[in-house]
Amino acid sequence: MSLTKQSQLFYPAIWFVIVAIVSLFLVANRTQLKVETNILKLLPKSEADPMLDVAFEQYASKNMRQLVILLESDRPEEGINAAKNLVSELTNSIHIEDIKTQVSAKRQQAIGEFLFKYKHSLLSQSDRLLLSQKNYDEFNAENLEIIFSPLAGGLTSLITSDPFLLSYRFSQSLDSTSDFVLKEGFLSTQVNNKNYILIVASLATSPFSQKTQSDLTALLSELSSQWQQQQAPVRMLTTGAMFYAAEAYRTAEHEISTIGLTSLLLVILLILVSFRSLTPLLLTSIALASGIGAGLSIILFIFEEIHLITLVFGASLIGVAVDYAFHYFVISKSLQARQRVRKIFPAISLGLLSSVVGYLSLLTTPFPGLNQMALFCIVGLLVAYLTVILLFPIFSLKADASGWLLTLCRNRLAKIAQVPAFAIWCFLWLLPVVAIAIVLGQTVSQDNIRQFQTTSTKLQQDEAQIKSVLELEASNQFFLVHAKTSEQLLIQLEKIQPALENLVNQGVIDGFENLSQRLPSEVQQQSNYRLISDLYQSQAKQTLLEFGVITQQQYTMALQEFDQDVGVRLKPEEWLNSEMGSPFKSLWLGQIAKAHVAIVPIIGINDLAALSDINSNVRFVDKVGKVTEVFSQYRVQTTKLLLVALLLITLMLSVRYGLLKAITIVSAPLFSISVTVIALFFLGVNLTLFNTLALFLIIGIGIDYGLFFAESSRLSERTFLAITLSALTTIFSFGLLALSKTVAIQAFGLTMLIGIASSYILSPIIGSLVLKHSGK
Amino acid sequence: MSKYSLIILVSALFFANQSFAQCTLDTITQRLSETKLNASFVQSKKIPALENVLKSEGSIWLSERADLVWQVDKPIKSTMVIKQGDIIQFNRKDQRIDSHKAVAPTGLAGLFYSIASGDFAALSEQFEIELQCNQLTWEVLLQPKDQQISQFIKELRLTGDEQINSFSYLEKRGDNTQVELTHLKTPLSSELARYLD
Repeated sequence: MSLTKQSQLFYPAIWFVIVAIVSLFLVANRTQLKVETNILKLLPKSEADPMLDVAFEQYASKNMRQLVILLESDRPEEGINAAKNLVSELTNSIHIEDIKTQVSAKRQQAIGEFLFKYKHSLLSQSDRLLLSQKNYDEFNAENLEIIFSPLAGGLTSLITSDPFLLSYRFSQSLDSTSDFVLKEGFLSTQVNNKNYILIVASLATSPFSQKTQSDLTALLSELSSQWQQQQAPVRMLTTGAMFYAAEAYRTAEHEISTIGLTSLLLVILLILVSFRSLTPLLLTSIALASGIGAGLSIILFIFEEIHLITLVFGASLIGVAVDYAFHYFVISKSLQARQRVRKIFPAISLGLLSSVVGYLSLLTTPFPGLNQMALFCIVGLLVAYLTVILLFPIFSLKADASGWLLTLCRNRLAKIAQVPAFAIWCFLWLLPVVAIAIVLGQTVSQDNIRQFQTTSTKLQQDEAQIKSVLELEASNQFFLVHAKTSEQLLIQLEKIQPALENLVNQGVIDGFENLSQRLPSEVQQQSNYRLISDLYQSQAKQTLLEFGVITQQQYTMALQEFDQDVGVRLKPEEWLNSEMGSPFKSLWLGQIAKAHVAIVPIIGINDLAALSDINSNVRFVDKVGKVTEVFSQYRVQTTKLLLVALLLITLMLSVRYGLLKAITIVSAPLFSISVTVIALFFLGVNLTLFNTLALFLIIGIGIDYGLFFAESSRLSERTFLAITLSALTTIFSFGLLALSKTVAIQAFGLTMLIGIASSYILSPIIGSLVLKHSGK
Repeated sequence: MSKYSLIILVSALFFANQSFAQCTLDTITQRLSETKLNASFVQSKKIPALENVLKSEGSIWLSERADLVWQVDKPIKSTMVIKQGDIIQFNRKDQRIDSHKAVAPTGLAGLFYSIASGDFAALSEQFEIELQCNQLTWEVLLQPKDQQISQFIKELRLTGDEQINSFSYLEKRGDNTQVELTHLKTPLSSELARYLD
């Protein structure tokens, strides 16, 4: 019949067109194939507050580009030599934009000159207090100590135009409270008889760029091992987002080459042993490759990049996709290719539909990561399915499953036929009850975004040691301050200073960085000017005259200079572009959505729970905490969606099979996920979002197993073999992820392992019941 | 001055040095190390910008553990302790000043330390040293060859016999500081040792 002939060409042609489009797209975009490893990209946008998102993005991207390097040595000399060496190497690297370690004499001078210009408007907090209390004696005494110190150095030349050392006093108040001092221009400190030199570099490129990661980690580890071999060794401690990202990437790469390769070999071996032919292996590979290729394309097309987690989770659709292929191969020995397709069509179509229904619910969540994963799976499954029904029939299939395997399956089924399936089934309904009790009873939530991080002890030790030497800004928690104008913003910042100091005094935090201490508001500057004016008019000058620090004539001239400065005020723009303000640019976010916004970073959080918004204009931002909270919400929501998906699938199947049979089919995945929840509970593994996601896949796979039996005419050993092969493949592919070092992936793998194993064990029992309901 | 008299002068200086073969930097270091510094001082600082000379007084002491304590008494008390490569300062109420607020750059502190202990070996790394002796006293002139130091200091001058009697330093910007020492019989340790803890 000509129609058949046409369709024989037509169907594969459709497949070829799809695969050609996918391939062309992938080839055209191969340079853009970027695997995103940034955890924060998984987060939903907080639509309610765009300012918060922009602010966080700006701050985090700046913060994540920082490399913090601490050099530890017994004597300062070796440390300084190593630091010089490191700085020159980093300066030559194209990946480094800026190194913030050496404060050059030129820069110090520029800061000094800048402050000198605005000396009559700037006062430190403690000096404001002294002057407002008119405690001029104390003020003078402090100055005399400085002037008569044997090492007073360059200060004395300032006295004639700044007799009260105002610019010097202000500059001294600015240095952070850390114990770092300048040694040959390097920030150095001593802790427990060890010398430390701090070097902070910022990356020119993204910390998630693999080129940046590999170049810089190679450079640093080479230097580090050189210094270790020196007679007086220098230890390099590092921390920063790039090091963690590099570590995550290395781990993933390592796991793909170990876990991934092992799975692949096991699956190939399984197919070869089962069919003793290359055709099934080849066809299965084509089905999986086109599925994954299509999934990848759609993600790149819509999201422009794929997240590592999507790739790992998404690739698990292999577990479902192989079902279709195996079912095709083992359905019957004698059938023609087209007949095979016709025979398995209802089962695999319903299987596909069920999985898609399951994944669709994930598409409704606001997590870009979950959306990517769901879309990847839906498209990937669809294309794998199309490969089976469109492409497979053009190959003649001579291979059949090994006879001994079929005998094994037949014997197993014969044994199962003797068990009281219905009684067991009724009894199994206890499982969901127990599982629901566990889920409802679980109070401790572990939905932490840090589960995406690997647990590298070296990095954690380094970070802990760095934190013991210096105070690092928390990168995910800060105060966000906003106001209508930049002046109001500075006033707001000044207002919260006492509240922030209070937090330090209470031990909630170790410190903070408030811009208003460096850049006072105009109102404050005017008040400073008045306080200084009082000082000039007071008797304070007598002490200076008495000790010969200044003559009356010089004092009069200084006073004239002061009078001329009446309108000289330091403006934010000028400050930001000066040597003094430029290091703090990242804290001044400028205008976002009609508001002027600044950040107050927090140093060392000791009691996270005690931190909250200071007022409606000063918000406490905690992205990690927020994510943990959102993850928990979505875990709860996903658990509910799981039940919704089961319900929808039951309704859909009851159209074809009637309610009782549909419930029986759906009971298989329901029992499996219940067993999984119970098993995880006894293994002490907390239910997280990632486990819950794996449960979705278990539903898709469990349904397939039930459907294959429902669509076969009897409790067929061939169907059972197809299920056995699918289950083993899935376990080889994803159960092995339980060995991963990334907590999230490990949880996913373990869940898959238990879920698939229980689905498989349950499948013949459910299958025999389904067939009984059909009266077969 | 004629050519000849210049030659005579140069050779006189040459012979003068020859005749005091005992007068070398090493022997001075040796002598200074025998008696630890234990003196009161008067400092006068002449600053071009100011009309008056800034005068201060105090005491200076090098401990057995080789920590240098420099205390100003007048016009206002302040104390500085220089340990190897490290500097600690106290205000007039004997409260320790946060290191970041301390006035002195640590490089200068190391220099003071080398001077007080007569460590010319360390100083010669950063300075060109010229030594002149007569029968009883010696004078050392130090001129920086280290670029970082030459940004601040033009020259240093030390005089002494068995001990250092005075030193002065001329800063790049013209400040001239003269420190005269009077060696004391009574040890300062009873007063100053408490700053070392």
